Amino acid sequence: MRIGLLSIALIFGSCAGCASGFLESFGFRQRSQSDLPKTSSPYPHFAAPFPGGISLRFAMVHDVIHERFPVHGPAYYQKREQDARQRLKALPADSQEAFDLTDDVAVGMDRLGRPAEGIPLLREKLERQKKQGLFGRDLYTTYANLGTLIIHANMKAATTGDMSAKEKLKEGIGFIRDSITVNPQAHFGREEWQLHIASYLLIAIDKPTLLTQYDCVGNEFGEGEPSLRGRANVQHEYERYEIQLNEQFDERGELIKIDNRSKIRGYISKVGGRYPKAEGLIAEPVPFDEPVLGMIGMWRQGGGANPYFAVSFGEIMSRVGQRYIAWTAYERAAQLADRYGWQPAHVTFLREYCRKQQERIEAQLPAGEREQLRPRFEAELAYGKQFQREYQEYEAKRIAAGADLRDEHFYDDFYRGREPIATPIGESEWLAINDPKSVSEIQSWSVAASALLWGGIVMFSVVILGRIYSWMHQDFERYRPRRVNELPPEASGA
Amino acid sequence: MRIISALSTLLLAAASASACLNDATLESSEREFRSQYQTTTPQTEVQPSYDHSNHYLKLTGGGVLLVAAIALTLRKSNTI
Repeated sequence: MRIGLLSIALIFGSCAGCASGFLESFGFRQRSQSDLPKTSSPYPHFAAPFPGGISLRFAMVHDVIHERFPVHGPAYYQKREQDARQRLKALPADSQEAFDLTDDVAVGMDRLGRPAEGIPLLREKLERQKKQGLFGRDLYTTYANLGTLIIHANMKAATTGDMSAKEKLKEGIGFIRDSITVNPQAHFGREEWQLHIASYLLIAIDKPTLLTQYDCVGNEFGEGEPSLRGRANVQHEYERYEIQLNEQFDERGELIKIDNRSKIRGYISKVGGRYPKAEGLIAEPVPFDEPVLGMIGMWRQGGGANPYFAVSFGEIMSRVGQRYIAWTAYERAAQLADRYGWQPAHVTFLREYCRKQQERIEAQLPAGEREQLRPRFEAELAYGKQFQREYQEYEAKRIAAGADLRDEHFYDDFYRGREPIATPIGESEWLAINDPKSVSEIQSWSVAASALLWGGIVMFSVVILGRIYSWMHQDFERYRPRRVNELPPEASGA
Repeated sequence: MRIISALSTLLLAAASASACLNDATLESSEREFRSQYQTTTPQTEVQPSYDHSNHYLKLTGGGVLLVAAIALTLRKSNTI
């Protein structure tokens, strides 16, 4: 009887202990405990937006902000135009090579600040292509270049109220839309964001308050606190759905389970989509890497630094927990603020807003790091600009010396002995998550230890209570008043 | 004059923002861009193992209580 009671106590206690241990260990999955063993896992944005596409690394954003990439100089474009015109003379006008060279000449004109001169060349090319029966993707570069040059050539007149220029601007935007239709996955989805941002600026001409309410991606200024929230959300979501991250990617972070692309990308933090619906604007929140890749492409391959992209980088990076990059993006935007909008109020707004955001970020950082932010930024930006300057000087010297631009070893001497300009990919690109194997082992330990502890507590308590009951019962028996027939013979006097 | 100048700055900004040009350099630039950001899994650092002292404490405590309970029970059985 007693053994049975104790067994029940042991089982009951152990069950309670198991439950307690399980609840305790369940907390491991919910919290990012610093004492748990960690493993590196790809972020969901390692899955590129589409097959064969490039996937974002935070170092890419860092590098465009600090100008750490090569940019061709005027000497390069002048020489290329000269060479292309020479070669075009000897080529049939309908050949593919002639079409490609026409792109080079027109793009070079745009780079040299003469977009209007390139438009007739591209219109003529488009006509020739259509006469040849070319369609779809074959027309992609013509559409994209023609649309861009038309926008560049007419934006100024459109902003002064010239209706004809506005119509042409719309025509340019139409060509960009055509380029997306025929080649939707080109260049990291850059055209889609080009279309969106061109539309944003067009709307801002009629509604200037747009520039102080939303960035060019559709984030609302002042919304949300810069924090590590984005990172935490990603981890929580991943673990909640029990995606085995490391099984989805190879060791280079390339997606191998391609069927899971959309599911994995579903975990990417979303940004933008805050402003009212308007033609050409993306009014739904999107995975943050899409506009970032688009802006990186336009910054590097297009017109370079501008305050619109810089502040958008700041907004996006602060929303996904990249506070250091966000700080530098706001710093760059504040430096470029003179080019923001066309009213003094726009410039003042951007400068003050960036400083306020930087202060919010600084408040979250240790004191020693705050003081280093600006000197580090200045030094790195100077390094990037110096690289670009030396690159262009090298180009000019080589061209003057008669070097051929098509020579694949043209830049060999420039790069010899130099460190790569791109920032090396570091550990911070990866998500540090609790190691599932270690966590599972700790959970087993936790359940077993709690089961034994509570089993022991309950069993011991039952024994002690039994003892107390027993003692009390004995005392009661000893002092209880008894009837005469219950007394022993000597006590009853018999 | 100020408005014209300001609009010029908008033009410049808009031009930068909308640039999406395709020429002979684009393909090689993208290839180079892609190769510059090759990624490898970071080396797993040797991490201090998880501190199981809490678990050991529970196991010891539970074990002691269990033994004590059994001992008390057996002692009681013997004395009866």
